[in-house]
Amino acid sequence: MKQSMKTMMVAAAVSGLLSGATAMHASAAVNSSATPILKAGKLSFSGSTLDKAPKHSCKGKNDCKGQGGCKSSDNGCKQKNSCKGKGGCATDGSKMPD
Amino acid sequence: MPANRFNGFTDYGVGIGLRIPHYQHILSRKPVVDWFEIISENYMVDGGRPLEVLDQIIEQYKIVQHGVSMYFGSVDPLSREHLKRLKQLVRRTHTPWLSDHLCWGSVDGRYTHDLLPMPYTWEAVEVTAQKIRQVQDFTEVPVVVENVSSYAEFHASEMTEWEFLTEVVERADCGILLDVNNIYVSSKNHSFDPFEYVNFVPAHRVAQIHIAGHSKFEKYILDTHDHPVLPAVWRLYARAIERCGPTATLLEWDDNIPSFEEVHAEALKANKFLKAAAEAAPTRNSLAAIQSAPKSMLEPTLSDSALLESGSAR
Amino acid sequence: MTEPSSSPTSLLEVQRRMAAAVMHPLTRQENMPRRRRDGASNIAEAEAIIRPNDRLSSFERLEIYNRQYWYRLFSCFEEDFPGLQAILGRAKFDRLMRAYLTDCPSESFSLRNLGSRLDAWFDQHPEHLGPHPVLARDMARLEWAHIEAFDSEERARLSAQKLAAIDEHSRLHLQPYLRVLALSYPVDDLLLQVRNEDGSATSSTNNASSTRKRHHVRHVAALAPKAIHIAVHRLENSVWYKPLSPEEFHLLSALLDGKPLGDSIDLALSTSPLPEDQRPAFLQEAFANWAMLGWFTS
Repeated sequence: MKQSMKTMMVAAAVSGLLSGATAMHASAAVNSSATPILKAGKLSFSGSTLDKAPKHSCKGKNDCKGQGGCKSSDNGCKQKNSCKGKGGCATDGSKMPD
Repeated sequence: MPANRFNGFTDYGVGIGLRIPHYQHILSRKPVVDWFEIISENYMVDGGRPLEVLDQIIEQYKIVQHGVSMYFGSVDPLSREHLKRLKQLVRRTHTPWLSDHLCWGSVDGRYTHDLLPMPYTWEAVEVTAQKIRQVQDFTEVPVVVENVSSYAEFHASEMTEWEFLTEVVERADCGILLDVNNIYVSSKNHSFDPFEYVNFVPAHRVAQIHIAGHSKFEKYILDTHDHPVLPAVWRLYARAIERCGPTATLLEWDDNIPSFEEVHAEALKANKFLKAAAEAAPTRNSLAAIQSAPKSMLEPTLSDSALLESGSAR
Repeated sequence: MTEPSSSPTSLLEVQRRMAAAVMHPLTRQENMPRRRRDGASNIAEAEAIIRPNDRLSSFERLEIYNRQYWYRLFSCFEEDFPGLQAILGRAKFDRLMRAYLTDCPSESFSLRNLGSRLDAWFDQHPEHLGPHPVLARDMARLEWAHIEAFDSEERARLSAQKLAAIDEHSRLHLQPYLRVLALSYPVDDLLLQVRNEDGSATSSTNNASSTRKRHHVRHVAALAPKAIHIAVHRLENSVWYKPLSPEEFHLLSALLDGKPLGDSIDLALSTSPLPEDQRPAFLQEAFANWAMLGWFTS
């Protein structure tokens, strides 16, 4: 690319940067995020304010209650809401009433 | 001993674990809650929603940090990255104390992400106490260690769990997060008397108490945190409060989490015991008196015996 | 008969030997194997380390921890890669998950990083990518980018003073949460569909789950290759997938690589069919949008 063309391209980029930054500040000043959101693309999740569960807790969890087994191909073992503690299935696989 | 050097001389009441399903309720309704406990690792990130929500909660509530992967008992050296991030979070939350578990969980740089039980050996006492001191020195906040639920015991053990806990905290000069549900779970899994445990631990070091629900299986009990607190655990809690005085108490509920109100109401049942302990305070012996008392005084009282479940080992 | 193992003599040995048992893969029936892949007996090893009690053998007690270890990791991995699971199907995803987690156990204090080595691991294990390998790999890359975008640092935006000093030699810094991807399939739409279906399910019954699976299979089967470029980024603490033109992708990639502004523009436009007279307007608009989204930092 010729230097003159390159200079023109850089000038265009910088001009865009300045106008975008100005628009962002203006949008922030009126406490409106409408303009950036229009440009943001696709929202990864809809209707959820909490799109990622925490990974840690210190509990154990038996994922196979009443399933009589622990096969991960079984949907009963798939209901895991997050990566909190996971207990081993009972060796005998059954649960006593409390 | 509501306020002591192990909990930063605070007098926190009854709290609950901060959990995502309750965020909306907490932020919009602003319920009155004495304090929240957070799992540190879930907020040891660089940005985004976890920290934004945490900052909003911090503005309105008292927060205490509870960790799950420092692994005081692992022979592996402490992770500098972990410590650095933990300290950053401490500065953010202003937690008056910092808790993690008396367990191990990593070896040769590989993490199991589980709270694995310790062999109760003198070597383990040394290793664990030294690491607790290192964390305390680095983070500059009191560290308290929590007894875990366990499903296995080691041939190598040279003492009981409560003796091990006591040796560790004395050598590390740190506090205890006494989890009475964990004591109960382990007592059933290992056939010991849970009251003997509660009666043995150095009460003046107890900075906080955990309560939670568990699940019973035919051959063992699992620490599932997915039920209300069971009566046997409340009885153990009552004894702990009787010994330790009104201590900061926290309910953990991590799975099948019901509404905020239900969890909070369950936690607030602790107030009955705390109130009773507060009223009994003038007549209660000082800790020094308890510690210097003959061993027979530390055995379960008649009322303790009555509270013991039939079938528990004595 | 099992040969006896000697008891560990140090804390480190206890931890190494117990970890070896706990982290060893489960059998297909999700039990602890009696014999390990290296031929060692888990029964003998458990008996050397763990005391039995009146209800459980040493082996059974150790098995609780073996299962607990894997269930925790499975749960975490499944949560992080639902799109990959939808593409591969349950059985293949299970095999992939077990193989990856066996080869790449966590080396971080946080489970957040569990999937960090998956893309590189696929280089050595393409056999786990299933019948649509490019599609599966694209999805895995998008899902990891999502995790990174979700909680990576957001730095202060570029100040007016620094903006005014930019020239062709300037190296622009972009937000740490920004990831750009060149993909062969429109996996962004598929992932949105998968996650919305999973998230909107009001029932956790097997029927509801099976229905979702059938939907996923149909989506995957119908997905035709189509080259896309996207930026995975964060705005107001939500993760967004922003479509990019090839020129925008190459430009952002060059800037992320630390190349100066002038060189980045050169690189991005060197193979572009965009007519020269339209290039200034293209650049102006692209930079304006990115600045508006707060992507440039000090």
